[in-house]
Amino acid sequence: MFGANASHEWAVATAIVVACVLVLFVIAVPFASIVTWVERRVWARIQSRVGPNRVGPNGFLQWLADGIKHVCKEDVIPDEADAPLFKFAPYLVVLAFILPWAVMPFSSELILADLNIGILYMTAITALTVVGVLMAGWSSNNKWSLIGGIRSAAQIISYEIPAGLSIFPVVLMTGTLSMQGLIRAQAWEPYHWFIFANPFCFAAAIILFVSSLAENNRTPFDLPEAESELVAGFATEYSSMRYLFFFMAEWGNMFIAAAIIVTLYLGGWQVPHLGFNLAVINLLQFISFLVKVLVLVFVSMWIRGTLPRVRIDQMMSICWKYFVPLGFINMIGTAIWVAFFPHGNRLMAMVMFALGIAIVAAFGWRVAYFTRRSRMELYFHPTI
Amino acid sequence: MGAAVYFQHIKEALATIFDGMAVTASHMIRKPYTIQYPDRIPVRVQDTLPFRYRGILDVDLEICTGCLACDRACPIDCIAMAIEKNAQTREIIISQFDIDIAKCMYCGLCSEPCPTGAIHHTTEFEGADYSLESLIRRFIAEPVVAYKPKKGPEPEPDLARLLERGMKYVDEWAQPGADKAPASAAKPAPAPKPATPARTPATTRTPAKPAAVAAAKATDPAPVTEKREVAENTADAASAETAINSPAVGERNASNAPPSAAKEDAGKNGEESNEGTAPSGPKNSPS
Repeated sequence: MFGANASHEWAVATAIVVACVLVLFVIAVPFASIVTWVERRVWARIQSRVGPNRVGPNGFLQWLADGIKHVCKEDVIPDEADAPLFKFAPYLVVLAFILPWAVMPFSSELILADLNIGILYMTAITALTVVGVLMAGWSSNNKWSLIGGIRSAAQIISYEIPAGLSIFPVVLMTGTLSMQGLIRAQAWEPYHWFIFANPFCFAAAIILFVSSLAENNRTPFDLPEAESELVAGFATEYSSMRYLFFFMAEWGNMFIAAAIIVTLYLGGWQVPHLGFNLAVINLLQFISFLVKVLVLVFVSMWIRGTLPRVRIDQMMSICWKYFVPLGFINMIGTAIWVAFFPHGNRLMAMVMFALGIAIVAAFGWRVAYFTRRSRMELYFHPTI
Repeated sequence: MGAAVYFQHIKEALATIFDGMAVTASHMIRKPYTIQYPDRIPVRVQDTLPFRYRGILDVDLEICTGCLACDRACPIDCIAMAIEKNAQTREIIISQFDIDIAKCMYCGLCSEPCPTGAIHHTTEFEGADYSLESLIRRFIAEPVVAYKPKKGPEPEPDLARLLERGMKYVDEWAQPGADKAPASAAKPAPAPKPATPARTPATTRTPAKPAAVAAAKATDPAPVTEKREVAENTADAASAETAINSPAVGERNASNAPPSAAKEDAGKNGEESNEGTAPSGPKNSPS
C-alpha cells in the first residue's frame, strides 16, 4: 500500500480526476450552451434562413449573450407557487444532467469512475429528470405547468422501457454493465461495432435513439413544452437563471443520450492501434468519442428541423404498440443469437455493415435527387 | 389490427422519415434566401426592387399638369393640392402640393390616373424620421406654372426624359407585360410600344399601329428571355404585378381604344405575359 509506486499512483489518479473535472467544466456546461447556437444555425439552414450570426464571429457568442440576458433578468416566483419546491426543481433537473458525467467514458483513461454498473447508473440517474420536471409542474400552481409536467412524466416513464430493452442486447453480448467494458468489447472498425452485430442490434440502436429523443423532450416528442398548446409547459412560470437551468439540462441531455448510444453501439472511443504514447492515444480516443457524439447530436437537431410534433395518443401508441414489442423481440432475438454465436458472427456483421453503407448511399442519392429537382444553387458553406 | 397493417405502419414510418430527412438535408446545402438588410449585401436593396415597387411617393413637378386627379383618387386624403387658374394665359398655377407620407398607405391609386406619370412611387422605403411633421413632403416652395402637354414630341431634353419615365409608369397600367420588352432602348427599329416621348400625354390612348404590333411580335421574344435570365426576380415580380392588374387593363382597353386595337393588344399581351391574364381582357369587355 505504501510501496515505492504509491505516490506515483496517487499523482496519476489525481491527474485523471482533475482532467475529468476540467473536461466536465470545459465541455459539459459550455456544450449545453453552445449547442443552442449550433442548433439555431442548423435549423435556420434547413429552413433556408441564415440564423443568428451577429454576436461574435458567425454569431458564435450568441449563447453567451443569451446566458447573460437570462442571468440579468429578475427571478420571479409566483405568489401562489409552492416556493421551496419551485426553487428546488431546477437544481434537481441540473443534478440529473451533471451526475451522468461521472461515468462518461471519454477515453480509455479519462473516466471519473468506471463503475461496474455504469450503464445502469446512467439510465437510473437520467430518469431523475422526471422528478424535477414533475416538481416544477406541480409547484408552479399553473395549469399549463401541471399538464406539461404530467405529460413529461408519462413520456419519460413510458420511454424508459423501450430504452432499457434496447440496452439489454449489448449487455447480453458482452456480459458487463461497465461503460469501459462495453467499449472494450468493440473495436475501431465499424463492422466490429455492436450496431452491426446482428439485425436485432440494428433495430435496437434505432429504438434507443428515438426513445432518447422522447426522454429528452426533443421534437417530435416535445409535448411537455408544446409551445402552441402549453405556453412553455412545466417551465411556464420560470424566469431568469432557473429557466436557463431547465434548458441547459435539456440540451446537455442530448449529449448524454448520444454518448450512451455511442458507447453501446458505435464503438465508443475506439481508435486504431498506432503505438503513440498514452497521452496522444487518449487524446485521439477523446476526439473519436466526441466526433461520434456530435454527429448524433447533429442528427437529433436535423430531426427536430424535419418532423412535426406527434399527438399525445400517437406518442403513447409509438411507445407501447411498437417500441415495447419490438424491444422484446430484439432482446429475445439477441439472446438466441448469442446462444448460437457466442463470439459473434463475422459474416452477419459484414452483411449488416454493407447494409448500413447501402442505406447511407441511398440516402445520399435521395438528397441529390431533391437538390437537383429544386434547381437551386448549391452552397456548402457551413456558416454565412 | 392485422400483422400486415402493423408492419405496413412501420415500413411507412421509416420510408417517410427517410424521405423527409433527405428533403431537409437538401435544404441544408442550399444557399439561404435571406437578404441581410441593411448590410452584407453587394447592392442597395432599393436597386434590387422592381420598377413598379410601391415605395415612398415622389412627384416630378416639371411635368405635373395640375389636373388634381391624384388628389381626387387618394382614398385617405394624404395629398393636399391647391391650384389657381390664370384667366388670361389659361395657365394653371400650382401653389401647394403636399403629400403626408405618414398617412399614405401605398395603394398606388394616385399614380394610376396621372396623365403624365408625374406622381409615382419610388423604390425608396426607408422613411424613418424624428417627427411626424417632417414626414409631410412639400414639393412646392413657391407657386409654379403647371406643365402643359404639347402636340408631338417634347422638345426639351430634360422634360422629355422625365416624361419618358412617367409614361412608362402610366403605360404599364394599360399594358401588362410592356415592361418586359425594353426594346425601345435596345432597338432603334419600329417602337414596339407607344411609350416613347413622341406620344402625346393625354388621357385617351392612341392605339398602336398593327405594323408596329407585328414588329413587336417579331422582336419581342429575344429581349424577354434575355431579361428573364439577367434579372429573374424583377421580371417575376413584374409579371405577378401585371397578373394582379389585368382586369383593370381589360377595362381600360375596352373603354379607351377601338375594339380591334384592344384585341390586337390583348393578343400581343397573351404572348408576353403568363397565360390566363391576357384573355380576361377581351372576354370580359363589353365590346
